[in-house]
Amino acid sequence: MRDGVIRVILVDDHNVVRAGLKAVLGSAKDIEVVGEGSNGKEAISLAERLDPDVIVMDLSMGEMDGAEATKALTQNKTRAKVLILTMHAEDAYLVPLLEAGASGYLVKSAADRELIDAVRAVAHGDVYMQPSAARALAQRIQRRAEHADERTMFEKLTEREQNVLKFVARGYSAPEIGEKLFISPKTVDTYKQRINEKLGLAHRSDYVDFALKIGLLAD
Amino acid sequence: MTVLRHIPGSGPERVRAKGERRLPFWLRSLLGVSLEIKLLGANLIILGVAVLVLVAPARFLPGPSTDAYVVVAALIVGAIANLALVRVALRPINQLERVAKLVSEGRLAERVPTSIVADRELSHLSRTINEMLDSLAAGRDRMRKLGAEVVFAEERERAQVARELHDSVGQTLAAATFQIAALAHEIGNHPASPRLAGVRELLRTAIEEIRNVSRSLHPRVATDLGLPTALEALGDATQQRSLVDVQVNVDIAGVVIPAALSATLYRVAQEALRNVERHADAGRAVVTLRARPGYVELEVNDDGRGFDGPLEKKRGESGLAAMKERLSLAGGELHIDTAGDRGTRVIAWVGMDTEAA
Repeated sequence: MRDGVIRVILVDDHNVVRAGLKAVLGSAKDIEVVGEGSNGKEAISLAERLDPDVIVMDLSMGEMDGAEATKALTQNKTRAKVLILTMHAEDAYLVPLLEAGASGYLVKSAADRELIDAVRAVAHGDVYMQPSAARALAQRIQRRAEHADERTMFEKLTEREQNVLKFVARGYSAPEIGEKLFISPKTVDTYKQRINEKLGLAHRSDYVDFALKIGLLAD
Repeated sequence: MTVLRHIPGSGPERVRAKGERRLPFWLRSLLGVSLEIKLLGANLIILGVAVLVLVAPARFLPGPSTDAYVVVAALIVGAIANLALVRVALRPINQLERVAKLVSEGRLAERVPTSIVADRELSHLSRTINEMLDSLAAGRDRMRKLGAEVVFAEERERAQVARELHDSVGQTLAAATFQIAALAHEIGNHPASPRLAGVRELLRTAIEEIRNVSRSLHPRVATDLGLPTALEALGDATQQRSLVDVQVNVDIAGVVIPAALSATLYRVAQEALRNVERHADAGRAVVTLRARPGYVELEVNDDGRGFDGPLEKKRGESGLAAMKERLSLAGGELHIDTAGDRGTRVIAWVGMDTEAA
């Protein structure tokens, strides 16, 4: 920030939207729009050239969308904070964006009222989101915490044991697993025995239950 | 439009059985003659032998009644030979009948086995029937693929319209609210301010309506974020609204579910959960997504009140009836298992031609 003025670049592929956002930000004396772009690639080059404090960016854009651009900006260690602006009201979009390094998330239909506050918040290093989005985030964290014990136990297994567990849960037989991991079916049974000793998984249904709890089958 | 190609393996070469080739040509031709010739031949041979025995100059069987024995013996042998030939000749017909019955029960993969004793006409008939069954199976397969193509093309079309509405019209309206907000700030406390605020409210309502139309046209969240994430978000949202404890299990083992199919299955889950929420009075619902190379399956279970009677007539299930129709066009199935006291189980199954990633 220079002289207490927040320098912002606007990135959106709709000119009318950009003009509108500029008009909204124009009523805040401490915010200055220093650049505009229409896709993720432009956002990255503008960020390098202008060194802004905040990048207000649309999520769905033709060439390189907001999520990809956010990831790239984070990787470039750009100083600017990213505030994602989107038409999507679904909170589910939020989590991957935060993981990618975004500092805020604002639905466009609320931007006329909240944009100025949101820009100020992220410029000061806070994370900005609407309460409903915060709830989605909390739910996601809760779900991860629910089976934290199981996950720790899984991470303590050796890589081979982890693989065997995964394949058993997916319904492969010992010979098939042996073929996949280049070990004999007998060795697979030995690993299963160890998994049983460490985690108490005896039957295939136990394996499936365990794998479902820690989301092992989700990808 | 695709050009219909020749289906490999549907020609007559497929119909010929292995055993047939091992026999010498003359024997095959002999066995292949028609039943009349076979009967005539057998009887002529027997008659010939009998005549030879009767007129042979050196009688090796003495006694006056020998002639009568020979005639009786010839008649008995003749009757047995005729019976045997007719029986053997009719066997292929029985097989034809069996296959026709199996096919009519829906087992389209059944084919008439070739028989070495069948005469030419019968072999020809079996072959023709097998060819007909081959082309019938191929036709059905094409219909199924075409049906799926139609359903998914429609899904893509809807997605396109939804996107256009949401992104173009919605964004323009949003831009208008931004300008109004800036204008309201500029004019400050002006007599026109309340009317300006009214216009802003109207635009906000319009944006909301566009969003709802777009969402009911196409569940974009399923194609943007992938079916597993979308289902989890749907489960969370349902739980939030309804106090039903919704659990979502995903077991897709690396299989990639095509976007159009994701949208269709998402809607099945949406409809099923909506019914749970509205009618089932359930405490708990479990959504399970399972995929393996070749198929994907979605199951929604609840522990609430079930329902009886045909699907279409019952409360909100008309949405599921429509989904059932779409799924069957896409080569899939939708089953609803329900009763008054043990909740409802909705299972959607769709086959697909993708491989594990």
